[in-house]
Amino acid sequence: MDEFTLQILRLSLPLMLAALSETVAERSGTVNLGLEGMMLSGAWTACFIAAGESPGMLIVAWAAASAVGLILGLLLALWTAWWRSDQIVSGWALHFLCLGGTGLLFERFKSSETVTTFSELSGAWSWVPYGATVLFAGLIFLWMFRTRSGLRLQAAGHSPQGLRATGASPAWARTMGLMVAGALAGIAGATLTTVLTGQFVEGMSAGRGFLALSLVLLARWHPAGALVAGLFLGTAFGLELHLSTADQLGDPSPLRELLLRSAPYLATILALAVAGPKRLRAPAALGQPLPSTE
Amino acid sequence: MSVWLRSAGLWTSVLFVALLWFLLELQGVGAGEAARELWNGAFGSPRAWLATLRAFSPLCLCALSVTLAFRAGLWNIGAEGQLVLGALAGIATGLATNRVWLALLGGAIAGTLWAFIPAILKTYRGVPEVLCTIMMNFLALELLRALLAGSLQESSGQFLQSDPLPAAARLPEWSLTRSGGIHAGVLLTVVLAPLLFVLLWRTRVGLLIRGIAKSPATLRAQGFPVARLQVLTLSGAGALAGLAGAVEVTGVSHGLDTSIAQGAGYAAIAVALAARLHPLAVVPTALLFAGLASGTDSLQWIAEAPGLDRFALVVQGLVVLFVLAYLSWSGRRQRHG
Repeated sequence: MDEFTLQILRLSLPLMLAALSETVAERSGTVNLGLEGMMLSGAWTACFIAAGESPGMLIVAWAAASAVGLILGLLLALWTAWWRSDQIVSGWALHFLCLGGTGLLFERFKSSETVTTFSELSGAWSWVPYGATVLFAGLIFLWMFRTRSGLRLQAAGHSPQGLRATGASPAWARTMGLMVAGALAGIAGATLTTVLTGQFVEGMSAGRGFLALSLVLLARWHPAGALVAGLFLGTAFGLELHLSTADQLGDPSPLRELLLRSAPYLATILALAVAGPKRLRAPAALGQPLPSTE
Repeated sequence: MSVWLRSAGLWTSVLFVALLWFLLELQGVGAGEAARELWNGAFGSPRAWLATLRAFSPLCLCALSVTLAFRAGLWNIGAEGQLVLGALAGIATGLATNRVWLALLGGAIAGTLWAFIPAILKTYRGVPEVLCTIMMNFLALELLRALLAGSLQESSGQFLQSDPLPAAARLPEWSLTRSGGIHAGVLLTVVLAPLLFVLLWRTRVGLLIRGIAKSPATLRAQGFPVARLQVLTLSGAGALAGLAGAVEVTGVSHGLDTSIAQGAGYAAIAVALAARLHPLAVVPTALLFAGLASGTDSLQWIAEAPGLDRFALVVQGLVVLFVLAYLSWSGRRQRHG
């Protein structure tokens, strides 16, 4: 495969995983605005663990990143599912906590050491992240649509009262959704450092988490759609990178640079405007706090 | 005593201070010394007050903007981008016309237009305003960078910054120390807060705006133009944030570079929520947060701990989470009686 295609795949990877994460969260009825922050935390954790180590540590780094994401998901669930705080505001606060927190940690444990990325490894190893992503998507599909607990998860997003009437707890279902979403977000962040760059940079997710929030709408809350939507935006990122590296040889005009650099965001806004999310069928109780038990 | 022990507010404050202390220790700064320096750098001297007030008015205007939008149930995360657009338009009109009031007006209009796009997309295409306003922030940053490298670049064409504003296009100042004074933007901010209060709680439109947050369907059923009101509110919020950007360039920086986007529009969300979305409470809260910012700034210099500005981000996140938790707990206690 040529370098350009590989580049696109690499750039799509964090977007696909983040969109998968948000798919799970939103199916359970929670808008996870902390996704970006969770990704940053995962990115820092993975880099901290794998920096200067042997390639085998990459798997440990992914596990650690997903554990950190899972804990953050649990934290958000405490606020949104159990204390019924507003989802947007809590998620936003969590994002800031992570943005500042990873900045502080990076400053404190500054390591110039880099990670040997998956892309630098030879043969089958370099395909592990992609295989894992497809596997995750498949597992999430099977879980959400074919198992009892997965259906409960979706019920918490469609009709929490109905779920409660069956004797199950919507709060637990949403907590479970956020834990899985958090773990996936952590891994999405881990791909930034262990596949793309090999180094942690502050705020390196550069809005990918927020873009993924929009991708979920375009993907119509389906795991397979999340992969496709991730690939769509990854292509936009890839084209931008490709054209702007070509530009650096010449002296590009600011306008051209502006159009290139804003392409992913513009593409997302346009896609949303064309899709008209009003007509898409979102989980009915998406974004709503759980009804009071009293 | 037992009332105090059961008070959620007390416990959240204790937990909050403990977390702050832990964070400061993590940074390798002694907590007691840090607290003293923080206070000195924020409100300890005329110079400190000056720094705090400089940070105050953009932050407060953005927080008022957030308050207006959130009160209508519109999640406007775009104050940052609207502020950047306001600053761009402010500097452009200021340089072109040499008049400060035109610069302020230009800034407000640019902010309005920048918020108008997500507003229209929300009401007519159903695009969630949370997502759209976040994207618009990224676009605003790219636009800022492009214009500073392009048509707004200083005449020598070397740095990513604009020409300085001529004296006629700057806000008047009352000198406080030799190095500078309080600019008129502070006064403007303090006047706008009660005006917003009157709008929201003493007028019919204000009642409708707050009603949209509670139940848009009811209002729509009664024949009120909900979509138009939403567009109007979000645009109004954009005007306030745009004004913040114009005040920043005409009152504080007197020029424009990339440091305009330092997150005042994001911090404003924490301010507005900590003030529980009340315009009059926003003013002292913004002052406190501005003090925190200028205090950490000076602490960074004294303690030689350069990472401390991230500390302010963490504090913002924590404040919001604690306010939310407090609201939820106290609400629960009330229901239990």
